[in-house]
Amino acid sequence: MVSFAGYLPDLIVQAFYVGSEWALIAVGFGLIARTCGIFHLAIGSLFGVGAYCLYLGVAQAGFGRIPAVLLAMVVTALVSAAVDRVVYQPVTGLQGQRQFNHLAPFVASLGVMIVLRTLLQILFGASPLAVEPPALGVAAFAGARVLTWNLWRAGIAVAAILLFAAWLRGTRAGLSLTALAQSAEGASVIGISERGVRLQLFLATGALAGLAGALSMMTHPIMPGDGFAVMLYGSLVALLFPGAGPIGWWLGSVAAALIYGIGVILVGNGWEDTILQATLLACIVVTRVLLPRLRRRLSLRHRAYAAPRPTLAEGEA
Amino acid sequence: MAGYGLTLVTFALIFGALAVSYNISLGFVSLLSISHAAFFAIGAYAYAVLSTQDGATDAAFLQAAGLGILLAALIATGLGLLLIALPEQYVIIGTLALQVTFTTVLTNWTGLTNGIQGIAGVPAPSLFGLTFDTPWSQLGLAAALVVLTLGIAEGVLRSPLGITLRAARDDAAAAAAAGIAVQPLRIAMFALGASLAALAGSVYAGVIGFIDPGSFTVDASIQFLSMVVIGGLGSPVGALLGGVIIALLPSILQEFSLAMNAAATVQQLLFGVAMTLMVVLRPHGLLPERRLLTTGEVGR
Repeated sequence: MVSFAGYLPDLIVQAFYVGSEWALIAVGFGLIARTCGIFHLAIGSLFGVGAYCLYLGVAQAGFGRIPAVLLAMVVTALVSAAVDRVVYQPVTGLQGQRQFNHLAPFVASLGVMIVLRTLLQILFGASPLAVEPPALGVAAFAGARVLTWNLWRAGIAVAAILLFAAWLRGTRAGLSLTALAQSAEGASVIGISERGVRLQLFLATGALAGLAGALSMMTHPIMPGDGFAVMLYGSLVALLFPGAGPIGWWLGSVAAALIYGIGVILVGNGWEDTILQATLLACIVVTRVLLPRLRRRLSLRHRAYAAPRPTLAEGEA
Repeated sequence: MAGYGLTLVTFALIFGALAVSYNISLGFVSLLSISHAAFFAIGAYAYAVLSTQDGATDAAFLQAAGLGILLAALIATGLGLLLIALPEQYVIIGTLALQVTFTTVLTNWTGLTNGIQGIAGVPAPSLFGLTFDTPWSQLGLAAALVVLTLGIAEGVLRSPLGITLRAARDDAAAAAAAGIAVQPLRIAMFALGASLAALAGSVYAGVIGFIDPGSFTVDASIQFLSMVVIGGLGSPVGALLGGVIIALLPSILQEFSLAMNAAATVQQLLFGVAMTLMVVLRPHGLLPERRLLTTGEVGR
């Protein structure tokens, strides 16, 4: 029987390639939440759209894998931009409509998530579909034996995230996004068009979600609703580290995938989802609720001790 | 056929009551939790487990309903205390994750829930010496549930508390400045809505006779949300209408000669389209909440 320590190298390598795929979703979710204040729950369904586009390209149209991945990214980018234009912009008042209930974007994103997922189910059926994984052999990596394809998979995802991070830091559009995240009003004063920046954001994050779906489809069978779990993990990571940025979200996703893998080894039987979600939620509650409260209390106590006591004359005054 | 029609109306009323209960937290205090199916499940499983044990008596329904209400209220309060201080996005994703976790627990805790096999042979509920085992009596029970739930929701809304709740919902900062304890109120409404959902769950299990985790998934929670959104956020009667429409939708689709599976898929698609269109085109729902200033209730 292999001990837990014996599994560790495999677990870490697995977390590296699974987490990198989750990170593609976390980056899109986190950036849209920070910049537009929208909870883009439908990004999980875009993952599904990307996966099925790859299936269509490879298994139905006979494309090579690289053109099929590019097709998946283009289609999901366009769907993502269309969702923003047709659904999110009206409910967030960007098109000058009346004020909406602040829950409207959340409800709309749930609606879009269901519509996209159900359309996939109608078009492709509810059963899992798969394409032949690339036959690239097995390699030894960091003390673990791993399919070479999985290393490629992680490498492609990390390269996409790095490219995205470079776009954010080094281009006018990326810097405009940062400005928009800090202050929409300030951004408009200096001539940044919110709609133009949003279009680029939704195109880019849609392409990342499509890439995640396409990479998954090349690895294992996919069903229409499979993007939901990836969206949930990605969103929890993005919420846990709200200001971390693409690289931070990637690291967080790899850590989350490691917890998931440990759950599989230690408990299994479907409880790994519960373990991961409970861990991430507990971290969110500790870092966002308990620690700030403790910090506030300590700082108040510190101030009470540090403040000079008023003299009698000051008190009378 | 008459029996089938009565059963349909019975389920429509149960889901209508469930939508009214959801509206208490979602519409009255604007707390969007995506875990209402979990509270519904707590009531359903409480009754199914207690009533199918050896030695279960006629009092099982009252005991189970009481237990379900208590458990749901406790869980909702605990959840509220943990999550309510967080920004809204965290509440949504937190409750979504908890709903997924709850379904996993229902599936994997086979000793209690019988896992994906579900619990069959749940007896019809008995209350005060009456057994609700005919379509008409079950319809009466569901109608009583609607009257109770709607009465509580309307009672809260029309009382001075209702005005406080609306103030807390529409401008939490101003309400807090005026001395309203916004967060405790939100937690209390969340617990009240959860308790009524558990009660609806106990009635549902007694009427349908079989429950399994598949009825209480995230999709069910989203379906319940769509009932409220379509009916009207903040309007108890609107939520009831939304619940009845959504519950009857599969049967209406089957009238168009759609097979059961296809009807379920089309139903899902219609939920999604309806939710999206409603928030874009008619954000206040089919029967919007009555505004106090236009009805002149303030100051009465």
